[in-house]
Amino acid sequence: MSEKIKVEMNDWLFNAGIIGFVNILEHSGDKVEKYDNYIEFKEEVLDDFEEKYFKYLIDTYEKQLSWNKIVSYRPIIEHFKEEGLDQFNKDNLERLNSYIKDVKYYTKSASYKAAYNLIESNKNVIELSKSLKTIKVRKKDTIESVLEKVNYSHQILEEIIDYMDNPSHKKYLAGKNVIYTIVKNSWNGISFLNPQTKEKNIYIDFKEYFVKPTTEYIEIDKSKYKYNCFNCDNQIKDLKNHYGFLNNIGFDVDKKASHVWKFNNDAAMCPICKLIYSCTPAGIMYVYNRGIFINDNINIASLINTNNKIKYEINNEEKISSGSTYKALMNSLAQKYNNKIKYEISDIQVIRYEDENYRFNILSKQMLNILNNTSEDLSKLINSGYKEINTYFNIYELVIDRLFNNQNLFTLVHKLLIFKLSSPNNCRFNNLHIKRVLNINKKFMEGMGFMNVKEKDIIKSASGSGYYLREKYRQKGAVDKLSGISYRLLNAIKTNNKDMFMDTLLNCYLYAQKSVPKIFLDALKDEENFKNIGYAFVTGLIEGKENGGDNNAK
Amino acid sequence: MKAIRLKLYQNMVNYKKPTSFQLKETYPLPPYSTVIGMIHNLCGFEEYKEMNVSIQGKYFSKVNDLYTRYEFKNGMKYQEKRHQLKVSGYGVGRGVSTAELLVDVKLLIHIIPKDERYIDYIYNSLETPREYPSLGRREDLAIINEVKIVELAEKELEQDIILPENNVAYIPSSMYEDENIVIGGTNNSINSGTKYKINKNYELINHGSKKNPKVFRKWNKIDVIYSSRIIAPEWETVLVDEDNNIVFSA
Repeated sequence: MSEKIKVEMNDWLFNAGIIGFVNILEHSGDKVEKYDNYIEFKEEVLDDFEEKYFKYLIDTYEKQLSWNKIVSYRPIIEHFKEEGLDQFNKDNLERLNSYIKDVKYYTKSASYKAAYNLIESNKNVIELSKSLKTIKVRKKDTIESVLEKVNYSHQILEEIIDYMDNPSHKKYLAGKNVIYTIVKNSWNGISFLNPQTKEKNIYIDFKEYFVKPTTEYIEIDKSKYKYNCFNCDNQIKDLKNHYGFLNNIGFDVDKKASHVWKFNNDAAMCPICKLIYSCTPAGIMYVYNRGIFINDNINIASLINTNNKIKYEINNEEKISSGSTYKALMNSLAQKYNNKIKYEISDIQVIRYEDENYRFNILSKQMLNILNNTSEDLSKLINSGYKEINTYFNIYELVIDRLFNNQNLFTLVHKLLIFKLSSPNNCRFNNLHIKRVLNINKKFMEGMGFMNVKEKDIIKSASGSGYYLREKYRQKGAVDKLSGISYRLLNAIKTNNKDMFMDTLLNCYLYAQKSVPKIFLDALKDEENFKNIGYAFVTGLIEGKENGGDNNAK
Repeated sequence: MKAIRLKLYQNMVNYKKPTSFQLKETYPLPPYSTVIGMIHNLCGFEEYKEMNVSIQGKYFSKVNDLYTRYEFKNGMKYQEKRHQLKVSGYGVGRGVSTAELLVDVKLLIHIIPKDERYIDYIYNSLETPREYPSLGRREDLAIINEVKIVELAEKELEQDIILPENNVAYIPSSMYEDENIVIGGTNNSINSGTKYKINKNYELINHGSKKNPKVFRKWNKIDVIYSSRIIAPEWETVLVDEDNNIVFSA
């Protein structure tokens, strides 16, 4: 009979490992006892742990795997098999061609090749996919002329899908996928992620590297060991298990000893902790190369609940994109907020993994209030963005990112306005979006105590004034002057130069022969108001630029 | 009981977590060991003087900033292929990495030395520091806004003490387990906050031989909860200073 093994909560990354560990075991129907700040499990649950590990990861992240991309085409083939190819049209063909390209690409990639070697089958998928060709229709010909070829491709594709979908094959193919799309985000360089690993079978490799040392460690008498695990204080024999394999956490102990005190590395862990750390990919929720984890560590149950909520939100999204992490976070925060009586979520650490880096935030009560108050404006920003040097930026993410860090949004608004003026082609947002951002910013500033809550809506009336001024310019046929003026106004706002702003503004109103709106009196009162009103005004002023005869407009 | 109360302001600061070797993750408030280290440095103490510390405060926001990272091993020879700096024959790797920085940190710290005789000495060392005070990294200047000797007392409260808005504190687990302090507002069935194990002081332990020493620090860690929603309810007995600030002594 074996005794129970106890694992205590610790740092956020280790907590993520614990959650992953619990998820993996419970997914396979094993029992883990959860207490306030530790879990207990029997040694027996580690039998076949490697199978459970991959099963959980494959099942959880299935939608994101290239394996799924291949297999998910099956219903389409079946549809045409039943109905015949009468309805097959150009769109179908285009789709088929891009699918064939994908299949050809994936089936001969290195990770798939490695997986074929583990599979006992006499089918040669690479040969099969080689015989696939994208189907071209010549200008003169109709689509009917290629139906024969389509039929042929469908047959081969079906064979490939059958091969991929076979459970004993999926195990390795999808397993390899999981390693490179998910596991690699949190650790690297050892076991099956060691390029020089001797064991080619990923399951056996994992077992030998993580599970076996753990069970041996549990059995052995540790009383003579003189070192202590850096994480759980258990006794360990040597310091070989260092933190180097954890991305962005550890360092190469042999070559970079300057990281630790007096060049003596004492940061090493016991095999149990190492196994737990290896489960972090099952604890942190990844969407492609982004991840999110909430360290709600007041007790194990709430830690699990909160993170499973996020998992649920992400997996139920129709289209998974990298922005999903934020949306899921916001949704589950909002839900928790509504059940406020039952839950409190302030002062909790949120860890995000982006651009191969971890980012940390602690959500304050104030911040949660602000997020809740701005949720309507926020939700309207989800599909807006802009492109800068071939990279697409999502405004929703940028806004939340800044809010989490308690930064105001003036620099972002400034950038958006400049973009709108200088390269409208790269803008996937309109003035309404900018107004939303300004609204959020206003609520944020009020929430942080930087602005008094105004009864009238300064954003609306300021951007309204901008709009009417523009109309006046349009009547005078002088709309083209406005972009130069806008640049000058923006510069004035950025440098907090009220004189220059008012100078330009008064000039404009003189030219337009209109009276200056009262709202600008508010602008002169303090800096925050000045910026909010100023930016709102410019937003209104450049409103409708797309229809204003601009040739670059899309 | 006497204590030294310290009010500090810091502009941009990083209180590094022990396991964050790459991106320097920061604690939201300075850990005990960091504060104790600062006091010892400013007082010129060469060995550990036992003391309790209470840490509370707030910060406004957080940014990530780049820093130059140097990595090397004692005695590592320069290797051209490794893109190292050549330092008189030895090789040092140089690159950039990110550090998390807290912005506009305001701290309220109580220092309670076990031996009361040190009170005046510590007070004087902080009142007229022998060099610039820094807390966190060496470059994280600390501006001392107040040093004061205050009287602490266990007091049965006549009315609730609520931590000022947005202020946070490390609450040692003993304090909230006894329910002297309520976390999470009036509804005390569920607490809110993040738990940390925070280093306080260490012993040196040699794992090598006498000739070839390999010295590790063995840390004494304190279980704390980090929270902003702290109330010391009336009728409870809580340690407070003369201005009714709760003292979270650990």
